Amino acid sequence: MRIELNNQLGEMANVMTALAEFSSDVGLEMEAAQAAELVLDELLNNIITHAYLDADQHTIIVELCVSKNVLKIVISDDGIPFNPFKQKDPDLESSLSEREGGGMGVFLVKNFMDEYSYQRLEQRNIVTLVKFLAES
Amino acid sequence: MNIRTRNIDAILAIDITGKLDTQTSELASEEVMKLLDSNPAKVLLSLASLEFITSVGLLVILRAAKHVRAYGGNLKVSGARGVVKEVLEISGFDSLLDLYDDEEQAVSFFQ
Repeated sequence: MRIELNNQLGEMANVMTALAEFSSDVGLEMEAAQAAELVLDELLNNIITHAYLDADQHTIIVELCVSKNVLKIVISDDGIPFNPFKQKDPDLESSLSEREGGGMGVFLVKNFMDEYSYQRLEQRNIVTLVKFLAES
Repeated sequence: MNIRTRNIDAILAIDITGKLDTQTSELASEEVMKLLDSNPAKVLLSLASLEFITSVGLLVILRAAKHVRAYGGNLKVSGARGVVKEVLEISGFDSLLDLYDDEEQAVSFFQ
């Protein structure tokens, strides 16, 4: 599955609809489908909210494929260079009053995927995520 | 995403149904905070019908909890299951907040 979206939060609905169809078409197990939904919500939200310093329209590309018991997700954008996995994890020991929301999204992505990586290629941020699927 | 309320004795139970994600969390937060406007002393966030949550959804819960704590109220969370429970646990919300698997348990622990 490949979908292109504009850098607007309103586009999220289209992505999620496409994801649901893809998950159904390939018979993706629920755990993997939910993990995919989560990581797309987190990372696309971050890109749309933080990746651009201008007010222009930009294209974000999301690709999903399933092969050999592996779900692979690739998200790419032409925003400012940014490696989400280099950010500090949130302090889970902090108290309620200290606790802020920052960093939680990427932390969840790391926990819900088996592999994650970032590269900067031809002016684009490319995030690759892998989830191992149960033997069918 | 839907928000309903019920009363269990003196406890305000807030049922959040559906998903708390980028598409729904801003509205959810507004609605929840409106319900807390009157500073209810005992609040139960019931997540039994919540199917899915992302980090923006966690912020809805966090914001509510901080607000209730600030005015000296008591907030508990019940019913989280499946991926919602998993997200809450990974995020450390199980030690941050009073989380209960079921409502009866949560209700019994309100003073």
